[in-house]
Amino acid sequence: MTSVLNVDTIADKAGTGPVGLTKQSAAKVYVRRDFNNNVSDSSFNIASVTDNALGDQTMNISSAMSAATYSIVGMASRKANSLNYHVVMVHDSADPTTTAYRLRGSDVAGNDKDPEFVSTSVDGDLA
Amino acid sequence: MASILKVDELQGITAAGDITITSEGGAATQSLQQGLAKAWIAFDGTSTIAIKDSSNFTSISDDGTGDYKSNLTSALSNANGSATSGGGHPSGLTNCGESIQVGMLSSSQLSHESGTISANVDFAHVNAAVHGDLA
Repeated sequence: MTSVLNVDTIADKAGTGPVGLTKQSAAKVYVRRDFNNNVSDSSFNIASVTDNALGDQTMNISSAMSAATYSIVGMASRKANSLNYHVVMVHDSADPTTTAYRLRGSDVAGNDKDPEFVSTSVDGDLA
Repeated sequence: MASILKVDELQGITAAGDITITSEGGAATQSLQQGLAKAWIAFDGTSTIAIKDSSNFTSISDDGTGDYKSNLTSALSNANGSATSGGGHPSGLTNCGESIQVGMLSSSQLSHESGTISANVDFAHVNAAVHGDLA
């Protein structure tokens, strides 16, 4: 027989930590950012975004990570003119911190650009 | 009143590895396991490479400049998992057209390549996440 549990939160037995998800991990942050129009199309655990300059934006995290060693993955693309490929990388002038990571959008020649679609997610441990 | 369920392990009844959750909008249900990353890693690809943090990765190897492999502790059920990458920050390089790529070589091994438009380069931040089914 199928069973259904109706609860708001699932915690460990002590009630103070996360439930163990053996060999699996839920994303702690995600955001789809439009660098060109300076808006977030969707996000989770993002407090704000700072537009530093062309192709240079900082994602500010709401609930901090436990260490600055987390994994950031992502991709970037333009809405049109797809032959002008864009990439997004961890910014070369700032290492990630527990509460923020800075991204750099550019074309493949290394020129700073504002892609319309910049999607990133973070895996790691929350504080 | 908010309710909290306190447990150490969750299992499905119909199938131990399948627990359904209701979507944020309430219009759909989805397998909890399907949406979780099965492995993720952040490592420093410069000098003597080192894992900074990871889940379900057992080791990495340096196969040359901007060329690495990583190995999962618990394998996926096949080599068709979705591997995504991120990273950057090559020392001393700016405006270089950085790129980073990742691919599944097998159910338990990934290939990572980092570099610029013209050459492989070691990156300080090499990241990856893997989605798919565990074996």
